[in-house]
Amino acid sequence: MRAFDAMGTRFECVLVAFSRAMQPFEPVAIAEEIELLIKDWHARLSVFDETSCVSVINRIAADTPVTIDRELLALIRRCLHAARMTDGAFDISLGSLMQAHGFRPTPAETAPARFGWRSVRLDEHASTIRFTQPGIRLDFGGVAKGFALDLARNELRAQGLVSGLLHGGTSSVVGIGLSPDGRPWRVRATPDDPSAPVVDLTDLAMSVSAPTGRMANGKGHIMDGRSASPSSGCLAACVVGPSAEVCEVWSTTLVVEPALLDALPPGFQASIRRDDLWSSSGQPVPFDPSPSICSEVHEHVRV
Amino acid sequence: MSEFDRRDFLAMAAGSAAAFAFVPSALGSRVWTHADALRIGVVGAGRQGRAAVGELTKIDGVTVTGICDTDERRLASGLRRSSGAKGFSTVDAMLKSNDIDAVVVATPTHTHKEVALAALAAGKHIYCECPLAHTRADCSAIAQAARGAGAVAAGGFQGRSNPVYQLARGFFKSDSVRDMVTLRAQNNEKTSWVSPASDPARYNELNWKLDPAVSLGLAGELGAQQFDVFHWYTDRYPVRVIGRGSIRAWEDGRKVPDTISLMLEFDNGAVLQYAATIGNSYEGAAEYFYGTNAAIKLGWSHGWMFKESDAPTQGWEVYANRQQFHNDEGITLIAGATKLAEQGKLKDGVGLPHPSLYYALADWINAIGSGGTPACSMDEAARATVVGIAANEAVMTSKPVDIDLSTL
Repeated sequence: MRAFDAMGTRFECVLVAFSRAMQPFEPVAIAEEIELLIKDWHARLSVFDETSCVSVINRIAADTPVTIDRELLALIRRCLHAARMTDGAFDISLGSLMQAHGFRPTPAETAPARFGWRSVRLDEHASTIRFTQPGIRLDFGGVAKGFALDLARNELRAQGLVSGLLHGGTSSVVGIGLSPDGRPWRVRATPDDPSAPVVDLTDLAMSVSAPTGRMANGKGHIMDGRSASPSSGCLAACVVGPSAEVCEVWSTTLVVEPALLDALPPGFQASIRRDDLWSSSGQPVPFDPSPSICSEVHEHVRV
Repeated sequence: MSEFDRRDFLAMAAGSAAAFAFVPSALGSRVWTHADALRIGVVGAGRQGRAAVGELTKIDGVTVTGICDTDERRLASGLRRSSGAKGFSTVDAMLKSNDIDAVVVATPTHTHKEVALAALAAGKHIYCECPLAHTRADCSAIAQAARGAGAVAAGGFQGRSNPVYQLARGFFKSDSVRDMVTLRAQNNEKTSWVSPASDPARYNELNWKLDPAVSLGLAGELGAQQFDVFHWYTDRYPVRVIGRGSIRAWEDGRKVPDTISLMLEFDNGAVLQYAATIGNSYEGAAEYFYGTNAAIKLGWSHGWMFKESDAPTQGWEVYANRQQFHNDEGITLIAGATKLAEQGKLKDGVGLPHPSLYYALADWINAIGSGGTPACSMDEAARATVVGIAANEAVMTSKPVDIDLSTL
């Protein structure tokens, strides 16, 4: 087991069994690689670090196109597709709203706070991003952990992991294979709620979002760009499926807009809690053991 | 002016200049000023190569146009980190492409010579990661090739281009620490030094750092980088090294010690005590200079000065940021203090905004653009590496090793 802090939370990975013979300490080295991988993306996506890729984009993309790498370009492309699909219920351009409600550091510059995913433009050929108006600030808080866990899952599968569990802050979880006792990795969506869904995560990911997960001034941390305010669509949303990134995108989305419960991509299952009642939709399909399948899974967001 | 007055004057001058007028070029201005982009190829897409790609993408006017690695997975990973580089499986193929002006050598240490010489022969500017090579002969060969080339060749000894280290060196040279008493450094990490190999046939190849035939161990791979800070500050190289090493944390049959201690002796009687381990991370990597007036601690992104109670107070100290370390109070050495003060962020900006690698690459690129000399020439890199090679020999043999730089 390895635990480390990244992306404002605690990550843990339990690596139980590999399909190939390992050299002494090779599992330790694999866990070290996972920690470096996630911390690297933390450093790139952090809005708390002024030199991170995202902070540089937020500072200058309204003035000039910013060249970004293919991996970040692909992540932003998928997020913009999700925004289009959900008509803005999922939106990575709400950084200024997060700042206004005390969840993010306030920038030194005094550009008016604006948001809206339609103001974010990608040039796929030039590999650049720009904003069509000043004041836009990207924030990957609603997708980063899931994205990082998918990358970690891919790396672990490539190294031959056949049994293991990863989570970021317990709200994003990936189960690989079976647990050491031969049974599925069994996880309850919200531990303090006996009526919450209990999920068997065999080659599946899960994400849980709730407005009360983080609070400031009595308001939750999930923003609704459509109303320019903290969302209160439902009390909690849990999504299970083959990609942690897609699960997190949709658990965030459903907290903002529970009516999209039936619009879930194929292969994913969602449960949302309104008052004391949980309601569900969809059927989860496990991810393929092949590491390359992850990019195809992401395409579900684009359907 | 008496000797005492001269020293005080120098200390005060360095304080005012360094703390409030010092804005390193890499912090405050554009690194590459030419209209055409500088096209860089990175050889080696392991951890260090990918880090270099990441830092290069931060520099305006610079484009990573090629990445080379023999391992397909690593190459793919490196390419994802770029904004459109071409992938190559051989150095020759990359050098023959018409899209490369300069090359970053980030392969295993014992393969640096082959890549560096090929790149220099092709007329490319090169930046070679630290340490330069695993043998004295290879160090000589690279330094000699760089001397005869019409290209800018830089070694990856990052202290020389690090803004905090440049700032602190001003204090050191100004006599703020006064008479040097002793030197100390450490590098503590918690890491296995094992590279996982999804293809078991490649395990030994990927784990070259654990092969005593080619590895310079902790002394060369970690220590040499830090020893060079002392060379640069004191304008001296050690003449003799005594070392010990053992396996304390990672008992997997390895022959390369995971914990070492060294004493590096200088010709003026000064001694650098060095300790490194990969079994515990407490206090990380740092270099310490102890003088009769003050001590300086350098931690790559941060630097501090600790004054003795009988040392004179200088005017600039009144405005300085301070941090408490148990019973000691450190004055933060802030690079770019003037700029931070203008922004009202002097108290916040206690560390460097970028990793040290960024400044080393930026310095090399700036030298290419200006036709100047990089902060770390290949000759300096060769000398520093030979000290690392000798230190590793001392650890592996448990015998004193004399350091002879005259053959370089």
